[in-house]
Amino acid sequence: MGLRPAWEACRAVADGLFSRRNWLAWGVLLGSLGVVLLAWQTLRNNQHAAATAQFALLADELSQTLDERMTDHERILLAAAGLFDASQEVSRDDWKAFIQRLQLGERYPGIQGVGFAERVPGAERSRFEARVRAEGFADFSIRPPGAREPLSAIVYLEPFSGRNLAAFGFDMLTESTRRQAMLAAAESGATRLSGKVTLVQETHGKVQPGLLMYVPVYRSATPPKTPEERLQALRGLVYSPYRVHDMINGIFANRRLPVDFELFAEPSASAEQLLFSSLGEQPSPRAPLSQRQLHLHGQTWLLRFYAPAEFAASLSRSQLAQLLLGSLISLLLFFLVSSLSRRREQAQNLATRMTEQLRRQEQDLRLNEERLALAVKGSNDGWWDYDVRTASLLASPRAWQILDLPEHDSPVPLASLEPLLAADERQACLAHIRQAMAEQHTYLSIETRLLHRAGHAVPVLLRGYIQRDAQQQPQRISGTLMDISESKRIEQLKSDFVSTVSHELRTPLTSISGALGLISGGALGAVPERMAPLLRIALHNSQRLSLLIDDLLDIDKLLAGKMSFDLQAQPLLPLLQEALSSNQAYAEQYQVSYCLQPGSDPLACARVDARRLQQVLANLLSNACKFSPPGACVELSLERHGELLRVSVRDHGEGIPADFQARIFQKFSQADASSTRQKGGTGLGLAISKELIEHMHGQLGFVSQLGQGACFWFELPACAGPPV
Amino acid sequence: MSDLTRILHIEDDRSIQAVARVALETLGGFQVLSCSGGQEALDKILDFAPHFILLDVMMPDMDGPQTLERLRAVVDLEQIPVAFMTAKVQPNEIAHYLSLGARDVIIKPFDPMQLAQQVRTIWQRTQAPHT
Repeated sequence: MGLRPAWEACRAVADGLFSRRNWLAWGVLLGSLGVVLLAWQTLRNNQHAAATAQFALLADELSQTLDERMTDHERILLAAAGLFDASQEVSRDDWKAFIQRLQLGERYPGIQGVGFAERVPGAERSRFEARVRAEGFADFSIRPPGAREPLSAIVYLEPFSGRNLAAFGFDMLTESTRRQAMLAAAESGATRLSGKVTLVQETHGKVQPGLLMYVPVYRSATPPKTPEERLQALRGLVYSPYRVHDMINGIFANRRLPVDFELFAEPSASAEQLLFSSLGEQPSPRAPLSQRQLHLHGQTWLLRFYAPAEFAASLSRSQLAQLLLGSLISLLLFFLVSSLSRRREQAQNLATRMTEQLRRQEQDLRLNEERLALAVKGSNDGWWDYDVRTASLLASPRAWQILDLPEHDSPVPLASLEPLLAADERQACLAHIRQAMAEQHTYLSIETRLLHRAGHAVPVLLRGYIQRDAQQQPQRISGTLMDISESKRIEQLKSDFVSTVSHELRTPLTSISGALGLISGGALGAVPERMAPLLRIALHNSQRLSLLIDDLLDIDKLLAGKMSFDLQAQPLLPLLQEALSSNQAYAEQYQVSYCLQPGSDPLACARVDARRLQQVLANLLSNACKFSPPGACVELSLERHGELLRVSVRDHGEGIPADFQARIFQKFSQADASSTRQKGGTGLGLAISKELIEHMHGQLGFVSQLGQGACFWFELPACAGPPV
Repeated sequence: MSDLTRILHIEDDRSIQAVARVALETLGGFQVLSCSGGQEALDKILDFAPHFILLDVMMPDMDGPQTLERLRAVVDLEQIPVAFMTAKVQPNEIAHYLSLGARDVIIKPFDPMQLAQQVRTIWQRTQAPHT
């Protein structure tokens, strides 16, 4: 749980970082890393240069110290040689005293000793050995044994103790390195150092590299001129053996060296010629920071210097820290720039989205405007916009055109337009508008007549939407102006047609039904028995036709608003009783009886047109009769429901089928086509009744359940009784 | 007061004329003069001297109200009650007829069996204040 979303989030962030849009941040990262690397490199170079310079100083100092010490050693040997020059005979005791005086152990640590190797001609070997033995060294002989020329032997070596005893009597010419140095010293008359050797003193302990320094002593105090003469005149060689480690340690005994170094007995750094190393037994594989050559008495030494390990480590540590810090700052810069670019990108996206949205809205607006304009054009209506606050009205060209008036591009005061209303409707129309505005109506719909420029009135339909502020005060009314001349003309034509046709039908029908009525009424004498049923049929149908025409005329008048009503406040009960009595004959046809529910208020009054109310009651009662089974009772009741009086007509028939209930008030509707024939009637009765009741400010409705009869009711507002 | 015996019926439709005549003569025992238009009635009214006039409203040339106005100039309509016979019987129309001086309106289509009685009832009502 949680791993997946976390991973997704990481991926999203990574996608953001590696997206092409983040190029600036990457550029900054690369640039800053480059700068860091450059700075780091420079710093490293500077540090290296500083260290190198420091090492150079140290190396010079070290080299000088070594050089000086070797010079000191040479002086000792020169002094010893001087002793021989000054005296033909230097006894063992003289030698010992002289050397002791030098305090080698304290002053020149590292010098193994100071000795004298005497040149011994081959012929005098035995005599020489005998002389030394005579001094108390019975076992003395020149080592190694064997005849050779030239021959030498170490006769004096102070301090004559310890390791030095092993060198007593040794012929150094037998070893090539020593021999080379000895001959070189003898031939040149100058001090010479040997190469790397292993001293004969190395009798025990760890073997150290060894060195020897020779100063020649001649028979005459002044050395001969040529190398051959010098060689001939050679008396012996004053020399010092050195154990190199002890010597170096002696020289620097009191100092902790800030550098590591290696000392080679040759200009080249070979392991065989390694005299000393502060780093170990073998030459360091590292490249030295610095190196020096020392030219000492016929030898060239190589000194190689290294930075101590901890110094290099601290140096590289600080460099690493600087590198890391620089990289870290670069990364921070990178993320900062990334974040800034992402913000910028988001802002850009937002701006793009908003622009797109605006563009779309603008397009929608234009489309809507176009649609609206086309719709208005298609309707051929004019539009108008009335500003309530300024009481001025702006109307479209088409609106002016309907009245053949010049167009106005700007709003005109409403007062100046009032004369356009037909004089006989002006007050009613203005009152209607004021009422709609005052009574919180949302829509306005007025049929009126406006004056055409030619002088005649143009019937128009004014419709509008009333815009209101938070306090429900009308601010603006916008709507259309429709020229309804044509529909009015057609309406009039239709009305005239219906009226004419009905009248033309009714006139002959009056004669027919009148004549039939007279005959069947016996006005002309008794009707023969066989003729009577047919006569009744003729009379009945002429009456039906007459009723149908009445209904047609009524509905036409009602719908055209041409039916006038004579509304009088009057008690309803007498009207109900009258309806029952005048429809009694009809009930008897269907063997049905009427029952007026008791308890009706005889004083309940309403404002009605008595004749139209009778028409409604006759319709409801006849319907109830038609749909009641024989012997049933049709109940008529009058009840008061608050401010309303409700009249109900209830039958006990089969009720109204559900599918018919919705269209029961439509014109020419009956439950099924056969009903018309079975039950008679035109299918207009309920439609007319509903219209009539509504014209008397009431409502007409019904309740019915299939199989349980139907109850038709109408409600009228109650009022005070008629003035006495 | 005189008795109701002569009735002038002005009606452009001859069939209705005939039905009304039979109804009034046979069932009411009246003497009936049927005229097909206003002009004919004007020509004959003085000779006939009716006690009661039944007047159709919709007629060619001269309609009911016009005929009534013209008759008023010839005879004393205070003495001869006039009733319109018409199908146009909206309350405002009836009020209009009464304002013209008609005593009542008989609705078309009329019941011929009741017509004579209706006429007699109207006649009696008009005579009552004078008795």
